[in-house]
Amino acid sequence: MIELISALMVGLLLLVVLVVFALRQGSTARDIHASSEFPGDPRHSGEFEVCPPELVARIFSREDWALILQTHSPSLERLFLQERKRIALLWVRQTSSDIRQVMQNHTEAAKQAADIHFRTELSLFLMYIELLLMCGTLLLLITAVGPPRLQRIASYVQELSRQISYAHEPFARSSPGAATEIPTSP
Amino acid sequence: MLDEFIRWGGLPTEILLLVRGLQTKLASRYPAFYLYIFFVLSQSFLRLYVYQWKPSFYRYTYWSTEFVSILVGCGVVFEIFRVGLRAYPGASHMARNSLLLLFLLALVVALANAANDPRWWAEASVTEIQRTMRIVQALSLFALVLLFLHYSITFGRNLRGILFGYGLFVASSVIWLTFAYSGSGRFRNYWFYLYPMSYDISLLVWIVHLWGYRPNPQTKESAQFERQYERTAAATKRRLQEARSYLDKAIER
Repeated sequence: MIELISALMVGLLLLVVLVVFALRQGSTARDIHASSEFPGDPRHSGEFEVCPPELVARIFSREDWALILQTHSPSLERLFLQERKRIALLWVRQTSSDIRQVMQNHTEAAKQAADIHFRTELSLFLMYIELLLMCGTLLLLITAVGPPRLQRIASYVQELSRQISYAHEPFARSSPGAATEIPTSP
Repeated sequence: MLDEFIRWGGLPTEILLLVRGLQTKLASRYPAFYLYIFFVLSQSFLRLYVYQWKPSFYRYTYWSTEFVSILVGCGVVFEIFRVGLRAYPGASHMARNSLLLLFLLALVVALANAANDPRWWAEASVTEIQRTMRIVQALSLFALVLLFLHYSITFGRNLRGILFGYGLFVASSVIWLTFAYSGSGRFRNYWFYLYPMSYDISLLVWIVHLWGYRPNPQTKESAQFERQYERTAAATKRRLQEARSYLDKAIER
Protein backbone atom coordinates (compact mmCIF):
# COMPACT_ATOMS: atom_id res chain seq x y z
CA MET A 1 0.00 0.00 0.00
CA ILE A 2 2.80 2.41 0.97
CA GLU A 3 4.55 1.54 -2.29
CA LEU A 4 1.44 2.44 -4.30
CA ILE A 5 0.91 5.71 -2.42
CA SER A 6 4.56 6.73 -2.91
CA ALA A 7 4.31 5.91 -6.64
CA LEU A 8 1.18 8.07 -6.89
CA MET A 9 2.96 10.82 -4.98
CA VAL A 10 5.83 10.80 -7.51
CA GLY A 11 3.36 11.31 -10.37
CA LEU A 12 1.43 14.03 -8.56
CA LEU A 13 4.59 15.83 -7.40
CA LEU A 14 5.89 15.88 -10.96
CA LEU A 15 2.61 17.44 -12.10
CA VAL A 16 2.81 20.07 -9.34
CA VAL A 17 6.42 21.10 -10.09
CA LEU A 18 5.60 21.27 -13.80
CA VAL A 19 2.73 23.66 -13.12
CA VAL A 20 4.96 25.76 -10.80
CA PHE A 21 7.66 25.74 -13.47
CA ALA A 22 5.19 26.89 -16.14
CA LEU A 23 3.96 29.72 -13.88
CA ARG A 24 7.50 30.75 -12.92
CA GLN A 25 8.61 30.80 -16.56
CA GLY A 26 5.96 33.42 -17.25
CA SER A 27 6.96 35.56 -14.26
CA THR A 28 10.71 35.20 -15.02
CA ALA A 29 10.12 36.48 -18.53
CA ARG A 30 8.29 39.48 -17.04
CA ASP A 31 11.14 40.06 -14.52
CA ILE A 32 13.79 40.05 -17.25
CA HIS A 33 11.68 42.53 -19.21
CA ALA A 34 11.23 44.74 -16.13
CA SER A 35 14.92 44.68 -15.15
CA SER A 36 15.96 45.67 -18.65
CA GLU A 37 13.48 48.54 -18.49
CA PHE A 38 14.77 49.83 -15.13
CA PRO A 39 18.51 49.08 -14.95
CA GLY A 40 19.11 51.41 -11.98
CA ASP A 41 16.34 49.98 -9.80
CA PRO A 42 17.89 48.79 -6.52
CA ARG A 43 15.41 45.87 -6.39
CA HIS A 44 17.22 44.39 -9.37
CA SER A 45 20.77 45.23 -8.29
CA GLY A 46 20.84 42.83 -5.34
CA GLU A 47 21.41 45.58 -2.76
CA PHE A 48 19.74 45.37 0.65
CA GLU A 49 20.17 46.54 4.20
CA VAL A 50 21.68 44.28 6.83
CA CYS A 51 19.86 44.13 10.14
CA PRO A 52 22.43 44.46 12.97
CA PRO A 53 22.54 41.67 15.60
CA GLU A 54 22.17 44.26 18.39
CA LEU A 55 18.78 45.19 17.01
CA VAL A 56 17.73 41.54 16.83
CA ALA A 57 18.74 41.00 20.46
CA ARG A 58 16.81 44.12 21.44
CA ILE A 59 13.61 43.14 19.57
CA PHE A 60 13.46 39.79 21.33
CA SER A 61 14.89 41.05 24.65
CA ARG A 62 13.37 39.75 27.88
CA GLU A 63 14.88 42.63 29.88
CA ASP A 64 12.54 45.18 28.34
CA TRP A 65 9.59 42.89 28.98
CA ALA A 66 10.67 42.44 32.60
CA LEU A 67 10.88 46.21 32.98
CA ILE A 68 7.37 46.66 31.58
CA LEU A 69 6.05 43.96 33.90
CA GLN A 70 7.33 45.96 36.88
CA THR A 71 4.97 48.82 36.01
CA HIS A 72 1.96 46.51 36.68
CA SER A 73 0.03 48.29 33.94
CA PRO A 74 -1.99 45.87 31.75
CA SER A 75 -2.57 48.48 29.04
CA LEU A 76 1.16 49.26 28.86
CA GLU A 77 1.96 45.54 28.70
CA ARG A 78 -0.54 45.07 25.90
CA LEU A 79 0.78 48.08 23.99
CA PHE A 80 4.38 46.92 24.44
CA LEU A 81 3.59 43.41 23.17
CA GLN A 82 1.65 44.77 20.20
CA GLU A 83 4.48 47.06 19.15
CA ARG A 84 7.19 44.43 19.67
CA LYS A 85 5.18 41.90 17.70
CA ARG A 86 4.86 44.29 14.77
CA ILE A 87 8.58 45.08 14.79
CA ALA A 88 9.53 41.40 15.19
CA LEU A 89 7.28 40.34 12.31
CA LEU A 90 8.77 43.08 10.16
CA TRP A 91 12.28 41.86 11.02
CA VAL A 92 11.48 38.24 10.16
CA ARG A 93 9.92 39.24 6.83
CA GLN A 94 12.94 41.43 6.02
CA THR A 95 15.37 38.66 7.02
CA SER A 96 13.46 36.15 4.89
CA SER A 97 13.49 38.52 1.94
CA ASP A 98 17.26 39.16 2.42
CA ILE A 99 17.97 35.44 2.52
CA ARG A 100 16.03 34.91 -0.71
CA GLN A 101 17.94 37.77 -2.28
CA VAL A 102 21.32 36.35 -1.18
CA MET A 103 20.39 32.93 -2.58
CA GLN A 104 19.04 34.43 -5.79
CA ASN A 105 22.27 36.35 -6.32
CA HIS A 106 24.25 33.23 -5.53
CA THR A 107 22.35 30.99 -7.97
CA GLU A 108 22.64 33.65 -10.68
CA ALA A 109 26.41 33.53 -10.26
CA ALA A 110 26.64 29.77 -9.67
CA LYS A 111 24.62 28.59 -12.67
CA GLN A 112 27.21 29.95 -15.10
CA ALA A 113 30.31 29.14 -13.05
CA ALA A 114 32.40 26.28 -14.43
CA ASP A 115 34.15 25.52 -11.11
CA ILE A 116 31.02 24.91 -9.05
CA HIS A 117 31.20 22.51 -6.07
CA PHE A 118 28.35 20.03 -5.74
CA ARG A 119 28.70 19.54 -1.97
CA THR A 120 28.95 23.26 -1.25
CA GLU A 121 25.89 23.94 -3.39
CA LEU A 122 23.95 21.16 -1.71
CA SER A 123 24.85 22.33 1.79
CA LEU A 124 23.97 25.93 0.86
CA PHE A 125 20.63 24.80 -0.51
CA LEU A 126 19.84 22.78 2.63
CA MET A 127 20.85 25.71 4.82
CA TYR A 128 18.63 27.98 2.70
CA ILE A 129 15.64 25.66 3.11
CA GLU A 130 16.31 25.39 6.86
CA LEU A 131 16.41 29.18 7.16
CA LEU A 132 13.17 29.67 5.27
CA LEU A 133 11.49 27.07 7.45
CA MET A 134 12.85 28.81 10.55
CA CYS A 135 11.51 32.15 9.33
CA GLY A 136 8.11 30.57 8.72
CA THR A 137 8.13 29.01 12.19
CA LEU A 138 9.20 32.31 13.75
CA LEU A 139 6.33 34.12 12.04
CA LEU A 140 3.88 31.62 13.51
CA LEU A 141 5.45 31.66 16.97
CA ILE A 142 5.68 35.46 17.15
CA THR A 143 2.00 35.67 16.31
CA ALA A 144 1.16 32.98 18.86
CA VAL A 145 3.40 33.68 21.89
CA GLY A 146 5.05 37.06 21.26
CA PRO A 147 8.71 38.06 20.77
CA PRO A 148 10.11 38.08 24.37
CA ARG A 149 10.02 34.28 24.57
CA LEU A 150 11.79 33.70 21.26
CA GLN A 151 15.21 35.22 21.81
CA ARG A 152 17.15 31.97 21.28
CA ILE A 153 15.45 30.92 18.06
CA ALA A 154 15.84 34.42 16.62
CA SER A 155 19.56 34.39 17.38
CA TYR A 156 19.80 30.99 15.66
CA VAL A 157 18.16 32.35 12.51
CA GLN A 158 20.51 35.34 12.57
CA GLU A 159 23.53 33.02 12.92
CA LEU A 160 22.40 30.71 10.08
CA SER A 161 21.72 33.62 7.77
CA ARG A 162 25.26 34.89 8.48
CA GLN A 163 26.67 31.43 7.69
CA ILE A 164 24.99 31.48 4.27
CA SER A 165 26.62 34.83 3.50
CA TYR A 166 30.05 33.55 4.57
CA ALA A 167 29.66 30.30 2.62
CA HIS A 168 28.96 32.36 -0.48
CA GLU A 169 32.10 34.52 0.05
CA PRO A 170 34.83 32.16 -1.28
CA PHE A 171 32.71 31.45 -4.33
CA ALA A 172 32.19 35.14 -5.11
CA ARG A 173 35.89 35.81 -4.51
CA SER A 174 37.08 33.00 -6.82
CA SER A 175 34.87 34.14 -9.74
CA PRO A 176 36.85 36.11 -12.34
CA GLY A 177 34.20 38.87 -12.54
CA ALA A 178 34.33 39.36 -8.79
CA ALA A 179 38.11 39.66 -8.69
CA THR A 180 38.08 42.67 -10.97
CA GLU A 181 35.05 44.41 -9.53
CA ILE A 182 35.05 43.87 -5.76
CA PRO A 183 36.55 46.85 -3.92
CA THR A 184 39.30 46.24 -1.37
CA SER A 185 38.62 46.65 2.35
CA PRO A 186 38.30 50.27 3.49
CA MET B 1 -16.32 5.03 -31.33
CA LEU B 2 -14.94 7.39 -28.68
CA ASP B 3 -12.59 4.64 -27.58
CA GLU B 4 -11.22 4.29 -31.12
CA PHE B 5 -10.96 8.07 -31.54
CA ILE B 6 -8.96 8.46 -28.30
CA ARG B 7 -6.72 5.52 -29.17
CA TRP B 8 -5.94 6.41 -32.79
CA GLY B 9 -6.76 10.14 -32.82
CA GLY B 10 -3.16 11.01 -32.00
CA LEU B 11 -1.85 9.69 -35.33
CA PRO B 12 -2.74 12.74 -37.50
CA THR B 13 -1.34 15.05 -34.77
CA GLU B 14 1.92 13.10 -34.68
CA ILE B 15 2.21 13.28 -38.48
CA LEU B 16 1.50 17.03 -38.37
CA LEU B 17 4.09 17.48 -35.61
CA LEU B 18 6.72 15.65 -37.66
CA VAL B 19 5.91 17.58 -40.84
CA ARG B 20 6.14 20.92 -38.98
CA GLY B 21 9.39 19.76 -37.35
CA LEU B 22 10.92 19.14 -40.76
CA GLN B 23 9.53 22.36 -42.28
CA THR B 24 10.78 24.59 -39.45
CA LYS B 25 14.05 22.58 -39.05
CA LEU B 26 13.15 22.01 -35.39
CA ALA B 27 13.83 18.30 -36.00
CA SER B 28 17.54 19.07 -36.35
CA ARG B 29 17.54 21.16 -33.16
CA TYR B 30 15.68 18.54 -31.08
CA PRO B 31 16.59 15.22 -32.78
CA ALA B 32 15.85 13.00 -29.75
CA PHE B 33 12.35 14.45 -29.37
CA TYR B 34 11.44 14.02 -33.03
CA LEU B 35 12.95 10.53 -33.04
CA TYR B 36 10.66 9.76 -30.12
CA ILE B 37 7.60 11.06 -32.00
CA PHE B 38 8.65 9.12 -35.10
CA PHE B 39 9.06 5.97 -33.00
CA VAL B 40 5.64 6.40 -31.34
CA LEU B 41 4.05 6.93 -34.75
CA SER B 42 5.75 3.83 -36.19
CA GLN B 43 4.79 1.73 -33.18
CA SER B 44 1.16 2.87 -33.55
CA PHE B 45 1.10 1.66 -37.17
CA LEU B 46 2.80 -1.57 -36.15
CA ARG B 47 0.26 -2.12 -33.36
CA LEU B 48 -2.61 -1.29 -35.72
CA TYR B 49 -1.29 -3.84 -38.20
CA VAL B 50 -0.84 -6.54 -35.54
CA TYR B 51 -4.23 -5.70 -34.00
CA GLN B 52 -5.94 -6.17 -37.37
CA TRP B 53 -4.01 -9.11 -38.86
CA LYS B 54 -2.29 -10.96 -36.02
CA PRO B 55 -4.34 -10.29 -32.88
CA SER B 56 -2.70 -13.13 -30.95
CA PHE B 57 0.62 -11.21 -31.08
CA TYR B 58 -0.91 -7.89 -30.05
CA ARG B 59 -0.20 -8.20 -26.32
CA TYR B 60 3.44 -9.14 -26.90
CA THR B 61 3.90 -6.36 -29.48
CA TYR B 62 2.22 -3.79 -27.24
CA TRP B 63 4.44 -4.36 -24.20
CA SER B 64 7.71 -4.79 -26.08
CA THR B 65 7.15 -1.52 -28.01
CA GLU B 66 6.18 0.17 -24.72
CA PHE B 67 9.57 -0.78 -23.25
CA VAL B 68 11.46 0.51 -26.26
CA SER B 69 9.45 3.76 -26.18
CA ILE B 70 10.46 4.30 -22.54
CA LEU B 71 14.10 3.89 -23.53
CA VAL B 72 13.71 6.28 -26.48
CA GLY B 73 11.90 8.65 -24.09
CA CYS B 74 15.02 8.74 -21.91
CA GLY B 75 16.65 10.45 -24.88
CA VAL B 76 14.01 13.22 -24.62
CA VAL B 77 14.88 13.72 -20.92
CA PHE B 78 18.57 13.87 -21.85
CA GLU B 79 17.82 16.39 -24.59
CA ILE B 80 15.90 18.64 -22.17
CA PHE B 81 18.94 18.54 -19.87
CA ARG B 82 21.46 19.07 -22.72
CA VAL B 83 19.70 21.94 -24.54
CA GLY B 84 18.21 23.61 -21.46
CA LEU B 85 21.50 23.84 -19.58
CA ARG B 86 23.86 24.35 -22.50
CA ALA B 87 24.56 27.96 -21.52
CA TYR B 88 24.84 27.21 -17.80
CA PRO B 89 27.91 25.06 -16.98
CA GLY B 90 27.38 25.39 -13.22
CA ALA B 91 23.75 24.30 -13.29
CA SER B 92 24.64 21.57 -15.80
CA HIS B 93 27.30 20.21 -13.42
CA MET B 94 24.74 20.18 -10.58
CA ALA B 95 22.16 18.41 -12.77
CA ARG B 96 24.68 15.73 -13.83
CA ASN B 97 25.62 15.01 -10.21
CA SER B 98 22.01 15.08 -9.00
CA LEU B 99 20.90 12.63 -11.71
CA LEU B 100 23.88 10.37 -11.00
CA LEU B 101 23.00 10.40 -7.31
CA LEU B 102 19.37 9.62 -8.16
CA PHE B 103 20.25 6.67 -10.42
CA LEU B 104 22.64 5.29 -7.79
CA LEU B 105 19.89 5.60 -5.20
CA ALA B 106 17.39 3.86 -7.49
CA LEU B 107 19.90 1.08 -8.14
CA VAL B 108 20.57 0.60 -4.42
CA VAL B 109 16.81 0.48 -3.68
CA ALA B 110 16.23 -2.00 -6.53
CA LEU B 111 19.10 -4.23 -5.37
CA ALA B 112 17.90 -4.07 -1.76
CA ASN B 113 14.37 -5.05 -2.86
CA ALA B 114 15.74 -7.89 -4.98
CA ALA B 115 17.86 -9.10 -2.06
CA ASN B 116 14.81 -9.08 0.24
CA ASP B 117 12.65 -10.87 -2.30
CA PRO B 118 14.82 -12.85 -4.80
CA ARG B 119 11.74 -14.06 -6.69
CA TRP B 120 10.77 -10.46 -7.62
CA TRP B 121 12.62 -10.50 -10.97
CA ALA B 122 10.92 -13.71 -11.99
CA GLU B 123 7.46 -12.83 -10.71
CA ALA B 124 7.30 -9.13 -11.52
CA SER B 125 4.58 -8.38 -14.04
CA VAL B 126 5.18 -6.37 -17.18
CA THR B 127 3.11 -3.54 -15.70
CA GLU B 128 5.23 -3.56 -12.56
CA ILE B 129 8.54 -3.32 -14.44
CA GLN B 130 7.18 -0.62 -16.72
CA ARG B 131 5.86 1.33 -13.75
CA THR B 132 9.28 1.14 -12.06
CA MET B 133 10.97 2.45 -15.21
CA ARG B 134 8.44 5.29 -15.52
CA ILE B 135 8.95 6.19 -11.83
CA VAL B 136 12.72 6.51 -12.39
CA GLN B 137 11.99 8.69 -15.43
CA ALA B 138 9.50 10.79 -13.43
CA LEU B 139 12.03 11.24 -10.61
CA SER B 140 14.70 12.33 -13.11
CA LEU B 141 12.31 14.92 -14.58
CA PHE B 142 11.28 16.00 -11.09
CA ALA B 143 14.92 16.55 -10.07
CA LEU B 144 15.63 18.43 -13.30
CA VAL B 145 12.59 20.72 -12.95
CA LEU B 146 13.51 21.45 -9.31
CA LEU B 147 16.98 22.41 -10.49
CA PHE B 148 15.57 24.61 -13.26
CA LEU B 149 13.39 26.32 -10.64
CA HIS B 150 16.24 26.74 -8.14
CA TYR B 151 18.62 28.25 -10.70
CA SER B 152 15.84 30.24 -12.42
CA ILE B 153 16.66 28.75 -15.82
CA THR B 154 14.60 30.39 -18.54
CA PHE B 155 13.44 28.19 -21.40
CA GLY B 156 12.35 29.12 -24.88
CA ARG B 157 8.84 28.28 -26.04
CA ASN B 158 9.93 25.12 -27.90
CA LEU B 159 11.87 23.49 -25.08
CA ARG B 160 9.25 24.52 -22.53
CA GLY B 161 6.63 22.73 -24.64
CA ILE B 162 8.74 19.57 -24.92
CA LEU B 163 9.33 19.49 -21.15
CA PHE B 164 5.75 20.29 -20.19
CA GLY B 165 4.21 17.83 -22.67
CA TYR B 166 6.56 14.97 -21.88
CA GLY B 167 6.41 15.63 -18.12
CA LEU B 168 2.62 15.55 -18.26
CA PHE B 169 2.72 12.25 -20.13
CA VAL B 170 5.25 10.64 -17.75
CA ALA B 171 3.32 11.80 -14.65
CA SER B 172 0.03 10.45 -16.00
CA SER B 173 1.78 7.19 -16.99
CA VAL B 174 3.01 6.71 -13.42
CA ILE B 175 -0.48 7.35 -12.05
CA TRP B 176 -2.13 5.09 -14.63
CA LEU B 177 0.34 2.25 -14.16
CA THR B 178 -0.05 2.49 -10.38
CA PHE B 179 -3.82 2.05 -10.71
CA ALA B 180 -3.34 -0.70 -13.29
CA TYR B 181 -0.84 -2.46 -11.01
CA SER B 182 -3.09 -2.15 -7.94
CA GLY B 183 -5.83 -3.80 -9.96
CA SER B 184 -8.63 -1.58 -8.67
CA GLY B 185 -11.21 -2.22 -11.37
CA ARG B 186 -13.13 1.05 -11.10
CA PHE B 187 -10.06 3.27 -11.50
CA ARG B 188 -8.70 0.93 -14.13
CA ASN B 189 -11.77 1.52 -16.31
CA TYR B 190 -11.39 5.30 -16.08
CA TRP B 191 -7.68 5.24 -16.72
CA PHE B 192 -8.13 3.02 -19.75
CA TYR B 193 -9.55 6.16 -21.42
CA LEU B 194 -7.66 8.80 -19.48
CA TYR B 195 -4.18 7.44 -20.20
CA PRO B 196 -4.32 7.69 -24.03
CA MET B 197 -6.20 10.96 -23.59
CA SER B 198 -3.30 12.36 -21.51
CA TYR B 199 -0.97 11.53 -24.44
CA ASP B 200 -3.34 13.38 -26.77
CA ILE B 201 -3.16 16.41 -24.44
CA SER B 202 0.65 16.19 -24.54
CA LEU B 203 0.47 16.12 -28.34
CA LEU B 204 -1.66 19.27 -28.31
CA VAL B 205 0.87 20.97 -25.99
CA TRP B 206 3.66 20.01 -28.41
CA ILE B 207 1.75 21.20 -31.48
CA VAL B 208 1.07 24.58 -29.87
CA HIS B 209 4.64 25.07 -28.60
CA LEU B 210 6.47 23.60 -31.58
CA TRP B 211 4.53 25.15 -34.44
CA GLY B 212 7.42 27.46 -35.26
CA TYR B 213 11.01 27.98 -34.14
CA ARG B 214 11.44 30.22 -31.09
CA PRO B 215 15.04 30.60 -29.84
CA ASN B 216 15.94 30.02 -26.20
CA PRO B 217 16.59 33.35 -24.45
CA GLN B 218 20.10 32.22 -23.45
CA THR B 219 22.34 34.48 -25.49
CA LYS B 220 20.48 37.61 -24.43
CA GLU B 221 20.52 36.54 -20.78
CA SER B 222 24.22 35.69 -20.92
CA ALA B 223 25.01 39.20 -22.11
CA GLN B 224 22.82 40.68 -19.42
CA PHE B 225 24.36 38.37 -16.81
CA GLU B 226 27.86 39.73 -17.47
CA ARG B 227 26.64 43.16 -16.39
CA GLN B 228 24.54 41.86 -13.51
CA TYR B 229 27.23 39.59 -12.12
CA GLU B 230 29.70 42.40 -11.46
CA ARG B 231 27.02 44.34 -9.60
CA THR B 232 25.90 41.23 -7.73
CA ALA B 233 29.42 40.24 -6.70
CA ALA B 234 30.18 43.77 -5.50
CA ALA B 235 26.87 43.93 -3.58
CA THR B 236 27.50 40.54 -1.97
CA LYS B 237 30.99 41.55 -0.93
CA ARG B 238 29.68 44.83 0.49
CA ARG B 239 27.05 42.96 2.47
CA LEU B 240 29.62 40.54 3.84
CA GLN B 241 31.80 43.43 4.94
CA GLU B 242 28.82 45.02 6.66
CA ALA B 243 27.90 41.72 8.32
CA ARG B 244 31.48 41.29 9.48
CA SER B 245 31.56 44.79 10.96
CA TYR B 246 28.31 44.10 12.85
CA LEU B 247 29.75 40.81 14.09
CA ASP B 248 32.95 42.54 15.21
CA LYS B 249 30.86 45.06 17.13
CA ALA B 250 28.87 42.27 18.74
CA ILE B 251 32.08 40.46 19.78
CA GLU B 252 33.57 43.66 21.19
CA ARG B 253 30.46 44.06 23.38
